[in-house]
Amino acid sequence: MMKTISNLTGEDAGAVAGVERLGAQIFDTIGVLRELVAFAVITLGVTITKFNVSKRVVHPLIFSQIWNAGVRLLPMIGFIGAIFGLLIVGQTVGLLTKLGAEGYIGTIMVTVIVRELGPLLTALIVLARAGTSNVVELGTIRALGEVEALESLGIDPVHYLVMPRVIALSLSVFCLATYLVFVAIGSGYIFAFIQDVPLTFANYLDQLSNALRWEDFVLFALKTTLFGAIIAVVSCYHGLARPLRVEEVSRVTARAVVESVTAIVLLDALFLLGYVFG
Amino acid sequence: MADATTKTKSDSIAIELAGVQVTHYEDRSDTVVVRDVNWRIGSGEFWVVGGRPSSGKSSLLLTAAGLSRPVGGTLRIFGEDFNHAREQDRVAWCHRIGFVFGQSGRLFSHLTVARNIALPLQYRHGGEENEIAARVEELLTQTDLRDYASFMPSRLGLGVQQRVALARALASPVEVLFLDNPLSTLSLRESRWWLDFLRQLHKNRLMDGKPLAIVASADDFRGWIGVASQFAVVEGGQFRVIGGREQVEAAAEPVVRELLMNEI
Repeated sequence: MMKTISNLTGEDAGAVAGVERLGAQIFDTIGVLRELVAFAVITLGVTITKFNVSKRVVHPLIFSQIWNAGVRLLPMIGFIGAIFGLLIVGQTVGLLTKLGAEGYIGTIMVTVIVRELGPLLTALIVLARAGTSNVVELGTIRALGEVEALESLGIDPVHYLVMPRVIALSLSVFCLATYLVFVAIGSGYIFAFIQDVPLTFANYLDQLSNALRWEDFVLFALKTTLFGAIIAVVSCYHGLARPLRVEEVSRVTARAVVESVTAIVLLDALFLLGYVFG
Repeated sequence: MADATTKTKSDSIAIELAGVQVTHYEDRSDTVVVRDVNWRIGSGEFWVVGGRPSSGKSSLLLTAAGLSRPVGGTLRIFGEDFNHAREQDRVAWCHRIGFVFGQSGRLFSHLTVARNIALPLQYRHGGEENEIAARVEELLTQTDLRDYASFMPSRLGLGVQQRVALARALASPVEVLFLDNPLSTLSLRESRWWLDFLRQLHKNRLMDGKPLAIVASADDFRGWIGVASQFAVVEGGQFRVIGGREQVEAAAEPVVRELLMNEI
């Protein structure tokens, strides 16, 4: 006999409710994704058309965001880059020496640090430090009704609040990732030197330059810039795009972090295709 | 001749609402809170819209100011249809319409008092810093805020914050000034300051030949009698014009008696 909704057993009804919840979640995710894309497109449009509008107000905001999300993170990125270099080389040098494959140190550094973990780690640090504070700051601005106040004065909130953050975070992740890569490569060599690995600095640089392809530079720049843009767009969207109450700020901050990490990892996976087929 | 008459008449109407459906401005749903609003705000008029708390007065003012989209009817701002306006038109309205939000005035919490007032000027004109500083100084003096110029909003009481919002809204030579329940959180002394200031501002602008329309919402008509020239109420989702002082004082409707605090 065919079951109808009305004669379902308790177990069946539970399963139906589960499927309904899953369906609702999928629709919710698609809805958020669509709004995020629309928000990103609006931001891009505003950046292109209004970059030089009211520049005496907006450009200093870009610099102050670069200071907050970039310059202030330099010591932390430097420290992590140094530790990172030591760990990667520390883990691999012994292994490669055993195999007599010391000549691959440069290749491993390029693959692991330049292509993968350098940009990813930098993005995650910037997300933790600047992305979260973005959501809290903008969420509070939204919850206190300052967005409506901006609009009432003819000030475009996307131009005033979002554009400076997107530009600053994109530039910051690119510059910080570059800095992290240099520090990690430098500290990697120091570790190799301390361990008496028979590798001169000139050879080390030679290995690095042989391992690097021109696509690495392009993809590195593109990847890090996009990581920064993702963090900025997702954090600004959750902070600003919807009406918000003060008590909701912590919830949307957590949501923004999860979505940013997911988007960054997915984009990273897409870039892998670029390296494989490039 | 007929054309000239029509033009003069339409020029004197700053904002016109015809059958407008007002939604709650923070609610994403299209639930109508005030229905079928027919209202003409003429240049140089002084309106007070009364109603009980949460009756939809704020949403009505935000809609009339072009800050919240009406879901039905026609809203004309300076003769232009809201629904057919381009972004530039809406930005241009913002320069001609001032809006003072209720309670704390929604100041920018990361800027000092002086920078709150200067921001719209800097953003709009990008003019000489000296000119902007002089204008800010003038506004600070007019609103008795000179002592607070370098303060952050969080250090100020609600009454002072609202006064900063007033100065910020007046930074441009606005033609219509909306005030969302400005007296609700003020002491008697501060309320007196506001009423005197608005009366003087309205009178001076009329004398200058650049009339300023003022539209305020209120939970209580008493202070506004003798200051405002037109009164209206929002009750049960309906907007109704009462008229001038005489009509208000003679009105028998319970809501108007309540707003005059005669029967509570």
